Amino acid sequence: MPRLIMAGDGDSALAPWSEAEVTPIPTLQSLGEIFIELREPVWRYLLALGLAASEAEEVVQETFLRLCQHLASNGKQANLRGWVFRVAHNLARDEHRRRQRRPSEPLAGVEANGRAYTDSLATPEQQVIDQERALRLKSALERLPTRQRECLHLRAEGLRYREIAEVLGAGVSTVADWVQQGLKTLGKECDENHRK
Amino acid sequence: MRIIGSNHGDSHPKEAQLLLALDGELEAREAAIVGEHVANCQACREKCDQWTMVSERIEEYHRNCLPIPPSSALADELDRLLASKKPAANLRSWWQSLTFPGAVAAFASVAAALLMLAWYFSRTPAVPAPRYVAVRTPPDTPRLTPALVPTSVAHRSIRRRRAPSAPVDVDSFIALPYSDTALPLSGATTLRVQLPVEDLWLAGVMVDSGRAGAIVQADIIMGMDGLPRAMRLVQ
Repeated sequence: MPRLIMAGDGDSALAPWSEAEVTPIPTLQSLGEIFIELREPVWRYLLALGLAASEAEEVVQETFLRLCQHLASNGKQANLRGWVFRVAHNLARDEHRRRQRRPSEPLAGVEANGRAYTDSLATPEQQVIDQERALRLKSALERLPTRQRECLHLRAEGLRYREIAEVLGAGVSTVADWVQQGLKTLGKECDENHRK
Repeated sequence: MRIIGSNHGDSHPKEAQLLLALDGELEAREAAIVGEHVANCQACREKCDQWTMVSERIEEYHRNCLPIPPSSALADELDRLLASKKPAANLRSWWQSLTFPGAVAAFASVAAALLMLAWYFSRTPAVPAPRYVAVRTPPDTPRLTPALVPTSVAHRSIRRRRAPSAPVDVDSFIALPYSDTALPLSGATTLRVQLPVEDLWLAGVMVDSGRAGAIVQADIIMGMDGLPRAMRLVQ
């Protein structure tokens, strides 16, 4: 932390701050732009992982606070999108573990917080069909293995395979295998539901 | 055509490679190979279609079923600060507001102006018609002095001869082109030279072309600045 030297505190003069004491502040423009670009995708990803809205909001704030510190300490600026999602992913995992240690609380999960699927151009019957389809998809996603589910959600938020690999700490070809297996499983479930 | 691996021992690419090609993650060469196979293989095409359908449903779920994040004091403050720093979106450079015909007209105008300037500066001034020095009588009759070396007209052979002692009749002289006839001839010197007739042409004095290649004699009035002012053919 910077040290403020007051006159009369034993030092006869106010000494300038040394470089080690002054923390460079990242430009507001760069931090603001990253925040605006990634806040909603990160938020949706956290909810898709099963976090409650309040937990997701805390994780989002913590993630961007760490981003600010990362930029201020001249951290690596390549693939910042992957970096942000990785931090959010790890914080969400920590939040899951904390929740498991706590007495179970009723989750304000996606179903309670989720918006009703609305399409102003669809008829009411179509809207009901679409809502049921969305719920079936959600259930199918929750039945997938964790890694496959995480890959699909990250891919749905526009991350490239190398970014997903950075978030999950895996290789690109492994990520491709997970995505392909997840899509294959969901595809079979969609076909079965269509036949019913 | 090299197939990038196979799941089933047949000629199909691996499903992971198929997916990477679908998502645009392969290099161009590999993507082209996979794309060519998919175009000719119904089974792989059906797989790609199914994956595309499922992917779209997941994205639709993200967009429509997951709640919007609540307003955040931090987000509001950043929005406000960034909006105050961004330039107005409706400011456009004037050339960006030109329509295509306007842009073509502007370009044509600039090009025409540049061409006119280039033509003006590159044109050779017209050779004035020879005229007699007698139109303007110099105040002083040039005195005959020992010959001076001419400077502006290239002479292949010059013979310096002692000029005749008689005063020169300037009325018979022709003013040379490019010479400033307003300058007085005081202190001028008359020089008698022999030179090829082509040099006269170069000096702007038209000579009967029947005499091309001939050597002529001429008297040249040289000014104090060393430049020829007028000449007359002697022979």
